[in-house]
Parts: sequence; C-alpha cells; structure tokens
Amino acid sequence: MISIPLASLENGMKTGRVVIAWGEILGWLNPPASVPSVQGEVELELPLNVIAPLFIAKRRAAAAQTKVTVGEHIPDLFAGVAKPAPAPAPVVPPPAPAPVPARAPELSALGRLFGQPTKLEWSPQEIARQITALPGVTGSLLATTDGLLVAGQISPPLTGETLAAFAPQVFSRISTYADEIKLGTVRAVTLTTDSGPCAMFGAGQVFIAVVGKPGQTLPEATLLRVAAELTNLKS
Amino acid sequence: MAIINQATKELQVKIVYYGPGKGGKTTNLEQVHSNVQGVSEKGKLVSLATSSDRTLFFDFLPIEAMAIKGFKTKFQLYTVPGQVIYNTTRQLVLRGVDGIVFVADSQYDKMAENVESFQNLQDNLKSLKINFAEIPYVLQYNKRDLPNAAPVEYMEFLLNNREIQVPSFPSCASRCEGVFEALNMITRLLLNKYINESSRKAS
Repeated sequence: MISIPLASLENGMKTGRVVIAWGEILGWLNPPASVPSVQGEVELELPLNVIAPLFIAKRRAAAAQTKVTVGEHIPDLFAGVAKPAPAPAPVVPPPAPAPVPARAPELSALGRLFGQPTKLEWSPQEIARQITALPGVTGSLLATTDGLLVAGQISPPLTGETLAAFAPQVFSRISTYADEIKLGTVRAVTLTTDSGPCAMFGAGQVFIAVVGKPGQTLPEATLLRVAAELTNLKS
Repeated sequence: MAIINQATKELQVKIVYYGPGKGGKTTNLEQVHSNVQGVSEKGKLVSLATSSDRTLFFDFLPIEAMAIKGFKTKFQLYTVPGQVIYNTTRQLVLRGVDGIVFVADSQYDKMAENVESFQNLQDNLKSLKINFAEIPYVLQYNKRDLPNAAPVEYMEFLLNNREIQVPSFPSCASRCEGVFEALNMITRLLLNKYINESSRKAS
C-alpha cells in the first residue's frame, strides 16, 4: 500500500509531468521499507493517466475563481454558422451514361505565365519559386498586407522577413503620394539601387517583392500579370 | 491592436491560434474556412505546411462579418508553428494580436507540452510588451475523441487555474466540434472589450 501526499504531487501536476525520486516513493510505503535503497536518487516518472484522476478527485476545492463574462448584447457572429451535415441522398438508379463530349483541359492563367498551363493549384512556395526563376530575378517573396513573410527566398545580405515587413509600408506610402499627385492607382513600385533593382507589387491579400541583378531590369510586365492573377484568386 | 476605421465603419482584429505542435491549430482554421457561413467575404486560406502537415510559418484566413452598431468586422485568423524551435516566428505572428485561442492537446502525454506552450505564450507576449491579463483568450481542449484524453477537470487545473477563469471548450477539430464555439466566444470577448473601451472613451 502506498499513500502519496497531495502536496508532493502538486508541483508535478502543474507541469503535466510528475517525476519523483525512488527514495521518496519508498518513504510513502505503508508499512515503510525496512532498508534504504541504494537507488534512492533515481527519478521515476509516475503515470499521469493513473495519478491525474486520483489527484483531481482528492484535491481540495480551488479558491473561488471569477469567470469571464460577456454582455448579452454582444451578438454571436459565428454560432451556428457551420454547415449542417448533409442529409443522405435518396437512392435512385443511375441514369444511363450520356456520351461525354471531348473537353479541353481547364487552363490556369497563373500556370500559363509559368509555362505550366494545366497546373491549377499553386502553393505560395511554388509561386515564389517560379517568380525567382524569371529572367533577371535573383529572389522573390510573398508577404501579407501586415508585413509577414508567407513564402520566398531572398539572398543575403537582404533578409526575407525585413523585406516582407517593409514592402507593404513602402507600397502604401508611395500609393498615398501618387494619389495626392493624381497619378492614379499604383501597380508597382521599383527601386533602382546599387545592389540591383527591387520591385514591389500589390496582389490583393498579399504583396510580391522581387529583387534582381545589378544593372539589369526586372520582367515587369510578367510580374504585373502574376500580381493581377493573384489578386483575382478567391476561394 | 485592433484597427478601428470610423470613416469606413470597419473594425479589424487579429486572432492567433496558439498551442503545442500537432495540437490542431491548422485543422481549426481549415474547418473555419470550409464551414463558415453568413459572412460577407471569406479570403483564401494561405497555409504554409510541410509534407508532414507541420505548419512552417503560419496559416492566414481573413473573413468579414457584420457586427454591431453598423461596424463591418474583419477578422484575421493566424496560427503559429507549434514546434519549439520556431519561437522567433511565433513572436512575429503575435505582433499586434487582439485575441488568442489556445489549442491544447488533450492527450496525457502532451500535458507537459501544453504547459510549456502556454508559458511560452506568456513569455512571448511579455517580450512584446503585451500584458497577458489584458488580452482576451479562450482555451480549446482538442482531441477529446482520443482514448488517452485527460479529464477536462485536470486540463482546467493545468491551464485555467488563475484568479480569472476564461471560457474553455472541449473540441474535436477534425470533426468541426468545438471549433466555432471557441471562435464565436473569442470574437464576442473582443467585441465586448472594444465596446467597453469606446464607451469609456466617450464618457
């Protein structure tokens, strides 16, 4: 028989892992062990699935907690919006198969730009990889409107996170100035620097940032079309 | 911090799903993306996962819904990578967070990871100079359908044992159980907070 003092378990229970020295466990035996163990310092992990239900059952009631409350005037925005499980479809005999006319495969506009017109699904990494493979491009990335890096690869000394963080800011500020000047909607911002060109494109929920080789130009027309296609992507 | 645009009557809030690796954060967002209805606009779910379904950077899902007082509310839902090594990424995603859904794994052998992740959340908020006590959050005890799930009472002891008890929800995200309950509560907590703050400012 063994009686484990609750206080000895409390700390371990709070961490989700109860580890106790074998010597201490021996001290809880009833009747106690007659000879001290030479392995007394060895630590043993007690099985949580055995200990936790006992601990919860024996633990004294915790101090009263205040529950977080929400005013009843706050509406439910998402309660009950999940689709109900579809009702089982009635069993009907299948109609005789009609002759299916030969159909051209669906083409992807993004795929056409990247030379893979039948590929319909593009992950952010694949898009960034394809952009980087365009002539004159050494690196590219996709970033969210609040400056978080989604995907892409930029070579040092530039860092993807920094470029992702600043690209929406740069684009947004230039857009504001262009608007003041009455230049119209900004589609791209290109910076020509000693280390090469850097262009930024707004594409709906994301931004594209592209860097190129010093002294070379970026394939701006293609990049604008990629940005336009990404802008049109909606699920 | 929520962005409130009085001119366009828009409220934009950022909700981060936090928790240990493989706990079900990405599954939550996938279920919301697949099943949400009645919203005016739903963006594309941007997910950056490896072939083993581990989130590398984050998942991002923008959705819009009409809230109250004529404000259109835009929600940006993010996850973080749960793996310990990606802490810098977690800090980055937490920037500007308004509300948190902590997705805990109910399996007994994940309890230590739950505690570690919850502590990591508090540490990261502190490093961003965000007061944990002021951030609305809810707890979601996921994977309740597994045979080695710990009792909810123990998970409450583990994660919800503070002076203020936050709302908690048992869930099975893979079956979309408890997903919208948690999302609905965190959005209500956020709206409650902003309405209270606006009333205080007005008076």
